[in-house]
Amino acid sequence: MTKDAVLTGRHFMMGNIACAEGALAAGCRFAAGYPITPATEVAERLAERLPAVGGTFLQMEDEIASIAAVIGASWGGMKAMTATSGPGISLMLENIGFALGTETPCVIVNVMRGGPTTGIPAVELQGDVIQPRRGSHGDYQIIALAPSSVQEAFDYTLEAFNLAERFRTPVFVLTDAFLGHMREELIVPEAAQIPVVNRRLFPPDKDTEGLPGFLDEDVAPMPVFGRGHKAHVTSSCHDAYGRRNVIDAKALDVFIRKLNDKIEKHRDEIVRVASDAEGAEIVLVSYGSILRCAQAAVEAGRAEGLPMGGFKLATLWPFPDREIAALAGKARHLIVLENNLGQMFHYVQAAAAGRSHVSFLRPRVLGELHEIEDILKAVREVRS
Amino acid sequence: MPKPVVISINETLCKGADGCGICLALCPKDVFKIAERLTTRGIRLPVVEKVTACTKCDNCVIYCPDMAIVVRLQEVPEAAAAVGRTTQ
Amino acid sequence: MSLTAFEHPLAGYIRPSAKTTANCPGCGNGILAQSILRAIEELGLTLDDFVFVSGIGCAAWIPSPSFYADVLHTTHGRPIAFGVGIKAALPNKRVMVISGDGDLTAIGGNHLIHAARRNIAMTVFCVNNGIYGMTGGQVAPTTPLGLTTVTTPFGNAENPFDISELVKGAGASFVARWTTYHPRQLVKTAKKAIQKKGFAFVEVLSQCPVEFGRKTGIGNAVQMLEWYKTRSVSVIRAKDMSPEELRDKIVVGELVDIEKPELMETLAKIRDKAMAS
Repeated sequence: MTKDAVLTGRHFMMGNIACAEGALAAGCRFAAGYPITPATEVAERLAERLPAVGGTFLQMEDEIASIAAVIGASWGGMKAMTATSGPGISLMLENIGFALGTETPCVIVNVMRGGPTTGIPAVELQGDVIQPRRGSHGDYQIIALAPSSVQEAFDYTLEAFNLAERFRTPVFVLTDAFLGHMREELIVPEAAQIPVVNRRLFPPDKDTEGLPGFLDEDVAPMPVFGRGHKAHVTSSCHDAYGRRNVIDAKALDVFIRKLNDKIEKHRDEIVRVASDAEGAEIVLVSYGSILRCAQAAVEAGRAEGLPMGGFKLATLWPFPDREIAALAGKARHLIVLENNLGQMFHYVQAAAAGRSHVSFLRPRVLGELHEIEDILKAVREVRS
Repeated sequence: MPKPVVISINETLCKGADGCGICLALCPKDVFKIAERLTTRGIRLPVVEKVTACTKCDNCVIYCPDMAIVVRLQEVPEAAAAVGRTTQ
Repeated sequence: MSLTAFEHPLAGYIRPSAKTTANCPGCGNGILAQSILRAIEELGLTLDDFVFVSGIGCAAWIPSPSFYADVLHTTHGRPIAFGVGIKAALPNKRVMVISGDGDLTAIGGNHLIHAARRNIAMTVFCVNNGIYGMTGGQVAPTTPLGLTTVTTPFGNAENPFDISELVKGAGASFVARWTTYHPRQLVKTAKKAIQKKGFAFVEVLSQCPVEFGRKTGIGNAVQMLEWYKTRSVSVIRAKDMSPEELRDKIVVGELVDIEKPELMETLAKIRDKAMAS
């Protein structure tokens, strides 16, 4: 295997592999995982590639240990990730909460599969899109990106690392069985062209008792282990020095708000959408692999004179509520397309706030991609 | 063989001889006894009764779960200058 | 480390903002804490040579927040798994896990046996008080058969683990057991465990006077230490004793000390080879 972390060039590559390559290009040097269809290729690729670039891959005893090891490695200073599917995320949610509360940068890839529960491992669904936002207990904010192509599997995984480092938070990359296993063109630029963000570090000569209230900062510098900072890191409610406070409700209030504000205040930097809805009356709102169906439907629909457009949610969380509100102010009708029974749909509807009508096109067969004709039929119905 | 020592018991760290009492039980020379009066925290501290019986076996130092007891040889000048309890 | 006349010899190792502990009076955890710190001092190491990891429970509060060092206080049962990641990122630091019997053998049992199997270099102190202390005295995998606890009000119907045997069976290269009645022996063993190039496991029976002693009627801190003293038998003597004679005894000492390839070293060799070719 090559010693280059960045595979500059033009490739014909599978989505899962592109995801692993995006991680390596971002500087990921530690991955831990557990086999699960349809995500296993990500782990296999990282297992092959990491040693030659100076990194480590560990197959752990379960998904819980995998995310734990990822968080441990992040506290040891490494960029770290894991890749799994819905059932694995369900197992990891407690420790993802730990990463949130301790402000640990890390990337979690969910190659979504047929659920709920064991479901069908090799069929694509978009069934786990609310899970990052509300799956772990308590109030928190999360960042989740939804690639819709092999190129985006690379780009968004890279971006996920940058966001994780910038905001000291776990970041989800939500792909699915279809995207993970399909092959498309991938273009990887020169390493020098790739923007890489690194976490802000604690001042080298200080320890955590000596830097007044350092956790009060918007995004606090990270007292990575092994550098003499004597950092006390706990997911218990803690004060601005990382000291556990399990007595005062006021301390908990500060703790919760601080963690939430960290992401909310910066949502404009994080949220990304793409609009192809200029002058469109009817707009298809979608994300991930279903975006491809929406794009094809928009092309075909416009060819037959339908006044339609498309709107892509690149970040699912923080939810692009303002962007949807603006869209709803211009369009007459939004149709949400997703391969589930309507998950992001409710958030789109709420954000549209009555400015335009919002409906959900239920997939004819959950687990299959939407047929273009089904989408156009829905558009024609709405129009009349 | 008894050695000249200074034994100090930190009133803030000690959790009281009634709830704990390990130093009293593990001293082979019965150097300690329980104070008669409660402190303002409501506990009865161990008190040094027979300092000259101490052989500096360090049992009390090692077994105290709260690191509240220090035994110093009296040759240490600062220790010799102050005898008894401290409230660090 | 400069000491004032009345400063405890180990005071320099304690985080300035965490001098007092939340432990009950007479809790054995503080005795183990001293033994660990004393061992580190006698080895000529500093706390900055370590990263401490602990889970949830009273034992996990030994390093967190008291040790003036890098400490990761994790979710329940998982300190070993987090420690694996830390070791992968910081191979030159010594990872020490200090946690309780419930944390490490109940919810955390899977991580314990796999880390032992992998022989990953870390020192694990499993503080065994035979009960779930922090949550108020529920039955643990180490609670003796028949004991009345708050979740076994009619008597515990389960057999307890022999934790050291479990870890030995999982393939650990160093296994030892002591009680808090043996702090000096603990220092010696801790030094060996810290120096061990591999998975080093030390089970420490520690008195929980409130949730185990008082609630189950066994006794107070002093009585429990006496109980440890009378029931302990050295591993050397135990070799010549029958299972019947050993039935209510605590076998103490170093039970396993073998050489095996260590995981991170093996991975480093793989990495070096991949980077060179």
